[in-house]
Amino acid sequence: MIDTNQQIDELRTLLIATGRGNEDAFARLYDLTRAKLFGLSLRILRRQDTAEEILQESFVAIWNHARDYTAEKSAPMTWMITIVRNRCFDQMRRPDFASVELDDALLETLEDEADSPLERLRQSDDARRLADCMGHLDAAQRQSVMLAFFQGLTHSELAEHLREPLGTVKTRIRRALTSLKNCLQ
Amino acid sequence: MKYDQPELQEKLAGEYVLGTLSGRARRRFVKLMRRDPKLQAAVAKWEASLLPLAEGIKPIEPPAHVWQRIATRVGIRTSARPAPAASEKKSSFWESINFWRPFAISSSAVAFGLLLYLFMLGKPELPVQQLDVVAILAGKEAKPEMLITAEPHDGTLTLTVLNQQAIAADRDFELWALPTGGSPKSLGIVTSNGITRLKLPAGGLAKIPALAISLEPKGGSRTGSPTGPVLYQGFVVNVGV
Repeated sequence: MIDTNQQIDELRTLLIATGRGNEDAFARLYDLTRAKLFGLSLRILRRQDTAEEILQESFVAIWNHARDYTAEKSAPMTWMITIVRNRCFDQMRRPDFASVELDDALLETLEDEADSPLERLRQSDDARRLADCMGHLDAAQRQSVMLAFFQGLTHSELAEHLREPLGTVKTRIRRALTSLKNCLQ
Repeated sequence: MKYDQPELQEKLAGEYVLGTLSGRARRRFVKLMRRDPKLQAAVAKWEASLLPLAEGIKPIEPPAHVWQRIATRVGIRTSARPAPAASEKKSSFWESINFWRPFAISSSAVAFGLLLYLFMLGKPELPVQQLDVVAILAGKEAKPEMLITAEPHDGTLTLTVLNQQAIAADRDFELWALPTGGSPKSLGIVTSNGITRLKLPAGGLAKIPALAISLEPKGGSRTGSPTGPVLYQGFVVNVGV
């Protein structure tokens, strides 16, 4: 088992060095995080071409903004995940965005993952705590949170997807977030 | 809607991070957040809470051309390139990092590796702002402990301790330049916690491929060479100074 604190230290150092214009550090940072971040954008966008574009744009942003990264404010992976997710969401909310069919192999990989992110959340203390707290939500709350988080569904898209009234979905999300917040405190 | 209510701010921040705000609501929220530190703090808290969910994502290798495009876009050397994905097939997401392990290989391999490394760096033709030397010193457990940067314009070298180190009261850390084909040259005593600023050695770091820290008696080695164990070491990258 590899020490996760050590991984976090490595990423943090690489991010700081990237902020100082160090190309080798940037290349190494890409090396260590590309598969995680590509998996994330592919999962949210479900489009290979757009997911590649978002990964590219995100790393350009990471290079340009790494000097603004402050270790005290956020964990390095959180900082990078935020950049990728925000770009994914902006992309999806564009009126001309349409998801297309993924090829079978990719689809299979993603579908295979449908229920397992929670299972795999054993990597860091934060993740373990979150997994425990997710376990305390009721099934409907958990499903809505996962759909929102991993597929970027908005309140109304969730309502449509689940065939439920918008108000019900909004209330459920709000309760789920409150419950998570209390549990994580 | 009154956006200054704490409960509402909290709720919106959570929904923003989760991703359920629609395009318009999301844009409006981002605008508000830019000028509201309280909202920024609420978002940061939610991010710290919820984003670990993404750790559960299964890694998927992006195609190699993505890196090529990134490198082109940000205008960096092609020698700074990640290892091809194929060589990592067997190692896990994190295990591929041999970068930090100068201790793990034998001394001749180190010498060869250094030569190869310097060869790969080539003649740096970097824009001025990239001339900061960065070395990352790691301990025996390959964990990065010190970050070293150089500011050539004012001739300083800054050492930042990433993790506070334990040191006996009668001992000091001493930083050494390890020049190619020469004996170590002391750069000065450095702190075990916080930041130390030192003078950049005459001639810069161009001929100094590596730096190391040894444990010495209080006030530093009396012989002019390292006398205690070498605790941290690392390669100098961007040999442009």
